Amino acid sequence: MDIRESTGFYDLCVNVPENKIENLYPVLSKLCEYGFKTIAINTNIDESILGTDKKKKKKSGDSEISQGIVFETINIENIRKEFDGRLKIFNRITFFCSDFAKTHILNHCSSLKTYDLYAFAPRTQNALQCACTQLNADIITLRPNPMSFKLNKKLYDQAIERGIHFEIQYIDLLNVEFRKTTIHYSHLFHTYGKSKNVILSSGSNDIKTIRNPYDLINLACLLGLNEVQAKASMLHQCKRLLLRAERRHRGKAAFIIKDCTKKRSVIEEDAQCVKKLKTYVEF
Amino acid sequence: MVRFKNRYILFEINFGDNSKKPVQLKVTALHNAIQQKVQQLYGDFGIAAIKAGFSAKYCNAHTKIAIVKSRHGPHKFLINAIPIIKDIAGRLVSVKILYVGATIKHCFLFIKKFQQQKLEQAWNTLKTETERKNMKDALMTLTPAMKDCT
Repeated sequence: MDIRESTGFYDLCVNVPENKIENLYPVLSKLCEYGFKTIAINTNIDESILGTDKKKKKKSGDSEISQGIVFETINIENIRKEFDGRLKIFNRITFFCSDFAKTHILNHCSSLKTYDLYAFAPRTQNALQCACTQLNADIITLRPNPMSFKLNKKLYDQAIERGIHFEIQYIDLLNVEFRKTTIHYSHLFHTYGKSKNVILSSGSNDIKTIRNPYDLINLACLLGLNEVQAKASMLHQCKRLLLRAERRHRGKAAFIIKDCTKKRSVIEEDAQCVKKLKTYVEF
Repeated sequence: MVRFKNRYILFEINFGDNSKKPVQLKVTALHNAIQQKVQQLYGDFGIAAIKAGFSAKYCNAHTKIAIVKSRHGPHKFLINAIPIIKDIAGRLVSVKILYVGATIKHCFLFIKKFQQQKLEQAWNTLKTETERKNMKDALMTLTPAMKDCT
């Protein structure tokens, strides 16, 4: 994973349309055109995949089987080559879960390591609570559910302290059914913690649902974010999130060391310039 | 740490039709009526905004006072929407906002004062002591739903 300084906007959730990689190319080129520079391609995992293996695991009594679970990972290498220099592409997994115990199984999976970002989408209140307090994930995303979640300040603060980011996906705003709940959740973030650690991503799987980042900044005032926060939710917050994800990966804090040798030469040139100027003044 | 600011809106409901039917006050009906009005005025955004910390209750069946709790901020939507509620569960009503308070204590102080006034008006028409006492009981007590708030 390569997180360098990048200038463009981030969109950390792009789904593959109809599970066909070919359909992804027009979406990505559209995003690129709108000024997005960093993209994460999402894979949704349901807990039912793990559920069947859990029984087997009980029989054998070994965690080796759980390591053998292979998800349908998207091969992003080709896409990376295609968009080299235009987009930075990451891999992201979203785990839909109602039973928190299943996350332990997922943690043992070796294929989890191949993903750069790990998002957790709780389905029950209990799962949300555990995710905020214990889970070592990068993102908690509150997807509209038949059951509504209750958040409180303590829970939110705990999650923030552990560096977990909350995600708002604007595809839910385009959907009539889920619009109310999505706005409601983002208002909760606003009331409980002034919308700290909130990122805005598309979650789209269709070229028609992608919006211009500056339109999104205007849209975000509906979500209780002011202009500065809205811009940050697509820029700096996402960068911090990626750094954190790197830390989770390696178990260490990540920082970037830059080569400064070029800078020195600039200073020397500057010094020479000053010398020249002095000589001119003496004349 | 910043605490959440709440607003409590007290209002009086007058039934337009003068029929002497026993007034059935249902909390859910009131709840729906308010939400419907906000939906009309402010759409999905309004509904989503008032959803947090929203609750509606009746205080007293005889003076027909209701109280609505809301977060500070979206309470402005409610203040605009409540006076133009015209029907609750199919009955024609007119609604008058009496008081907007920040704490429930001040709301109760206001209700007490308000009900005292009503009581004094009612006492003028009544002669016997027992009638007066019954009237006092009817007007000065709150519905059981409000007990847990006091």
